[in-house]
Amino acid sequence: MNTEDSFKSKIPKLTIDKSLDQYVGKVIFKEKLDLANEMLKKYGVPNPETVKKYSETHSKK
Amino acid sequence: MMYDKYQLTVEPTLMNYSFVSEGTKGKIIKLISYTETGVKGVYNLGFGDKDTNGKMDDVTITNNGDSLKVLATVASTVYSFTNKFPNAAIYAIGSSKARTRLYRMGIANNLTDILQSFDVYGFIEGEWYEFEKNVDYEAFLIKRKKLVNLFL
Repeated sequence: MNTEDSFKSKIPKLTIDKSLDQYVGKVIFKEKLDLANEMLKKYGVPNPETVKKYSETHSKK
Repeated sequence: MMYDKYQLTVEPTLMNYSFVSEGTKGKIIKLISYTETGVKGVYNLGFGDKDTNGKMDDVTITNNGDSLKVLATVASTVYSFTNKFPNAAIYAIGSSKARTRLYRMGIANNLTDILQSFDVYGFIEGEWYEFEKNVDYEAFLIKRKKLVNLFL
């Protein structure tokens, strides 16, 4: 199985539930979102080109 | 590794999912919601219980005896969500240290599988790192790997 097939095989079967429409466009977990925004504003997102492993920078001596 | 999962329901935008946890404390309605953060293309993964008043609670630890099945169900929505939004990055943090640790263990226990499709990062001590097992991260960011067409 190639990577794409492996990915597709893990997509769950979904049933549409119209009652969930009430959540579209709304912030349901606001505190968590605020926390994420605060953190992302302060530290940004990881740069794939420069990100390192924690074990490389904090090796035991 | 394949874990047992709950049947998910969703609304047409594929940003809000629900399922019913069935365990020692009965049936509990769970909601998973992806909300775009202030950083374009980065979505917060929100997850919690619907209480008896219909309000969402992402703080209570339910202890319904099915945490692995719940975690596997939540994780499966990442595949659904990023299938529709392949360029999205997902930010996740637990509502408590225990829940963040549960997320970490869920990623670590399936890391080989996850890394086939995603780049995974952990945040600790003010910096992002490439995800590794046995590091007590405070938050996570996951992004679908870009497909490379070798025939182009």
